[in-house]
Amino acid sequence: MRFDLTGEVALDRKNLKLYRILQIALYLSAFLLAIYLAFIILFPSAAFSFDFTNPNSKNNTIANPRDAMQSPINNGDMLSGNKYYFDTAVSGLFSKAVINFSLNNKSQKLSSGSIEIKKSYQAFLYPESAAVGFKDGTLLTDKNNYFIVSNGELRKFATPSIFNSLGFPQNAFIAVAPEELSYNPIGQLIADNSSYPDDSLFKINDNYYILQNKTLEQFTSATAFLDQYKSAQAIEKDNDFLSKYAVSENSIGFADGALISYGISVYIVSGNSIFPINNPVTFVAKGFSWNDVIPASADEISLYTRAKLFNITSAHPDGTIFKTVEDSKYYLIEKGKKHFLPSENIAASWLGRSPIMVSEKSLNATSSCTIKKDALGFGSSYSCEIPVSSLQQLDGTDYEFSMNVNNAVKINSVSVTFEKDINNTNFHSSLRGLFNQVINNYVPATPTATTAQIQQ
Amino acid sequence: MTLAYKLLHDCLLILLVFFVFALIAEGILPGIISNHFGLYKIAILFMINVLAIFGAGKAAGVYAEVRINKKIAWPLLFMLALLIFNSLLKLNIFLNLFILIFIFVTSYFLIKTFQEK
Repeated sequence: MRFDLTGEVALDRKNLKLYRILQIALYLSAFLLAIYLAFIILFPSAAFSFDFTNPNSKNNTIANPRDAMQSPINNGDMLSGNKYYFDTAVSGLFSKAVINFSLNNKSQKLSSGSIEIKKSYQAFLYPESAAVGFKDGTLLTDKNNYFIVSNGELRKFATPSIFNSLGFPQNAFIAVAPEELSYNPIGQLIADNSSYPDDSLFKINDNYYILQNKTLEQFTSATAFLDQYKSAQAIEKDNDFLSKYAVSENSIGFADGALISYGISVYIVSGNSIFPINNPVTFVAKGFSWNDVIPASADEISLYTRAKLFNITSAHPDGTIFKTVEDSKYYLIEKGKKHFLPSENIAASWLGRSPIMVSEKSLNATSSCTIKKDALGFGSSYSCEIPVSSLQQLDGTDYEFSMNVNNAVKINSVSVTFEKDINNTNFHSSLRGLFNQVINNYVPATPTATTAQIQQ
Repeated sequence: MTLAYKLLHDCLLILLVFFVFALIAEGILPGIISNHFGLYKIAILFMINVLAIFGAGKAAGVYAEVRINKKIAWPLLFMLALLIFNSLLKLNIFLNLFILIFIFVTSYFLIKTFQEK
């Protein structure tokens, strides 16, 4: 019996034969199309572009084209011998990056040039600035002396009896090596017990406060306090203490870089803003851990201004701490700079959650290619193909491209396409990736994750 | 035209199979298809195909009677229920089931209303 959806419609012998042939061709084409679609899904590519003739276009998906001084590249003008940078962000494993660019008609031809690529997290590629010491409010001891970190400075208690009489719990003082104390500048000696230094922490009726400029600022909740400090650091006081200092109307929320959830959304805290994370893929790709998500109340959320979506191209915000895989070095991100945290104790004073794991190698591991003129393209088209397989084991979602040209040129547009080689290894890794995504969708890693779904 | 009429039915079946598989895949992994190929494109192709069948049938003088295949209706309804349940998976399971039953009951009475003479 032949397969015929319209058996009641008869055809003559000649047309029936033609119908059978066309029918087979049709189903065969559909089968080939299905295989093609499967290939697109299993071996995906990711394309990005930037149009220098329309730099403000929303279609520009390459981020931040800039020169070595971090200034934007005006009109696509590139000078000889200078380095120019641009970024893309993508999750997934790829084999190569193909960079294409076209020159303006008025531009002279490119004699030669090269492009280099690095893979890491965008914030980890920030320039490194001075190392930072302990966080404000931390209580320290080198066994002989006792200190509090106040306004960034290390303030010594003149005698142990002073901190005892002020009520600082002795067990809250962290024993550190003398050299660890050198990263905070020395502040004024605390010579008497008449007043508390700034950044002293208090617990009054289950509410937590921090002293700032002789004013008590209340933490919005115990959860917000415990995200930044340990409960042992707070001095227990009664209600009368509130009459000794002015109490600020401002509340203190979570630490910068904290992950909080409300309803089905997860947000990253940065200053007075919270950034909603756009989907679970971004959350995982950016190195966050579901265990660090803190369910927040409406009151806690209302402290913040909701900022733009945090997506795969967003850099980790201020307060993020990176830990290198190779030698467990910690770095704190603040205002576009990366600060080294010189010891485990210093890092612990800043860490409220798991650090973002990153490869230190990613700062130096590069892959590069030489720019060539397109053989089949128009006169002004150039391309370059960089193998990126060697960078795939490095943590991070961001690729930083640096380009140098040996003569001045004017570029109209640049595009980058990440591609996967079609081979058995990539096939299996794609299948594993899809399987993991299904697991992420249906079997959340922790109980927190079930309540902390992501803003779509 | 009769030949085109028959082939367009085969095309419609292929589009249906693609659409159903695409819906299931999207249900399990949102974005797996729509990131590469908009589902609306299949819907547009559907409409073009149905219109072409109508046109070709008219030109060829073929008037197919409307047949309801109840055998295939039940598996399709089951799949529809699964897709709706899956899309509401993040909700409380009882709310999910309530919405699911509510959709089916509403659809049943709507069909009944339109079938009344």
